[in-house]
Amino acid sequence: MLSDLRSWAPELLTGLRLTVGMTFGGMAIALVLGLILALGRISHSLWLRAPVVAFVELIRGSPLLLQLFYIYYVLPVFGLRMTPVEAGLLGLGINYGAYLSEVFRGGIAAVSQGQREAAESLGMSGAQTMRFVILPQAWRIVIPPTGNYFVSLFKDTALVSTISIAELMFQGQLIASDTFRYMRIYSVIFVIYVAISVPASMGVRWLERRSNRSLASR
Amino acid sequence: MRPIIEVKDLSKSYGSVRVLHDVNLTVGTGEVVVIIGASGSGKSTLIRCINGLERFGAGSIDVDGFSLAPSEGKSRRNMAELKDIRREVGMVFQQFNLFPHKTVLENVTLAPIQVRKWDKAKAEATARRLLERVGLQDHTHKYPGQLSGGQQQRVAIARSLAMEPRVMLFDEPTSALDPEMVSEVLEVMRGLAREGMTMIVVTHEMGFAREVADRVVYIDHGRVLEVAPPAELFDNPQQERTKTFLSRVLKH
Repeated sequence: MLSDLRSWAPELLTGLRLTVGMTFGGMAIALVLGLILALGRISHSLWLRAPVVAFVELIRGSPLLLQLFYIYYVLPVFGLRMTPVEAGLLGLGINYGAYLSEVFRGGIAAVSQGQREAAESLGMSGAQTMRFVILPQAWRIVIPPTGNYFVSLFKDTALVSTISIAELMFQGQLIASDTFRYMRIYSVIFVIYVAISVPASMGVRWLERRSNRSLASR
Repeated sequence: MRPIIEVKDLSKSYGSVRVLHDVNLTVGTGEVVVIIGASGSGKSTLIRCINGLERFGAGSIDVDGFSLAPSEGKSRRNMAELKDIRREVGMVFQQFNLFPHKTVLENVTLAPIQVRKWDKAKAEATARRLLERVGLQDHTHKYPGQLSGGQQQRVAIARSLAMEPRVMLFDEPTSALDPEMVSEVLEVMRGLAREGMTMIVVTHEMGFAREVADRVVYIDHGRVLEVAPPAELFDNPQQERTKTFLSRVLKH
């Protein structure tokens, strides 16, 4: 067992590194896209709002796996050719961005109307109000759900193994097909995912308790 | 006295419900006007129209040469027009509406820095002077959540004054306060009135109205029923409905 582990360690570490990279990269895209989509969704202009709603529903209404295949295999037909990692980051980022946009929209809506009115009555523009008054307060509200999506994204990166990205899951499959030690290798992969996502979830819950406390003291 | 606010034939509806009927009101520079009336009479709506927080369907509002046009039903509003008016008019809310994520000092300096483009040092110097004036110079680094209601409302007044408005609107500034904190807020407002600030105050504090107001406006079901100096309006109301209202609120 230990000798197996030792011999697999380089591949597993390479895979884990890529898994973590895909998680952070995908999340970065998702955060930016999610905020842009959320702002589009609450825009007064129907021309902005309607396509955003359509896009978000399209993404939320279809499987992530299909979206990854679409980006990697179908977009090249239209001349958009990407490396597997680029396609994977884009797919994860778009998918999670769509979900996060709803979280952000909810957070923005949860900031009281009185805050907007106070900022407006001080002569602040819509953009200034959003930036200095609404978003900083909305951010505190959305930290816990955003953290949960982050942990969930970490696990979903396993899906990009299907477009030949050699992350943790992919390395596990390679080792399995080399050695036929399915139980051993997949158990190791299991432990690695759980060892990271469970403490991360606990961290999110801690953040949630802390933010509840700080809101309660206001 | 030169008029600074002129509200002409102002009407507003929420759907089919008419909340303001042809309201006319002229306020002179330095004048303190107190608006009284039952809950739901439209008095808050009236002052919220004056700084553009509410749209209206007909009539016009002029503040110091800037005017607001009716915009009910239209999706777009003239933002330049609103910006001019809001530069002139400060507003204090019943629920204070301080920014909870910013310190007292930051609450007061945010708009001067962002809107007036003052540098930080100037904004902070002004803020400290204003906070001292409302008696909160020792609380500049606290967050609103650490202050009492009365203190929060005084910060809100300082925040509004920092934009150097020509007119201050007060929308039931003491209604959300515990009784023992009402007087500290009214004291600050008295001081402002003494210094010549033009003020429109919606309030249920009849003692304050009698003492500080130049004129008192009684609004009933969205109509201005009676406008008179406080001594006249309180002691010798002309309208039957004003009498009924006053007998109800002054009884105790």
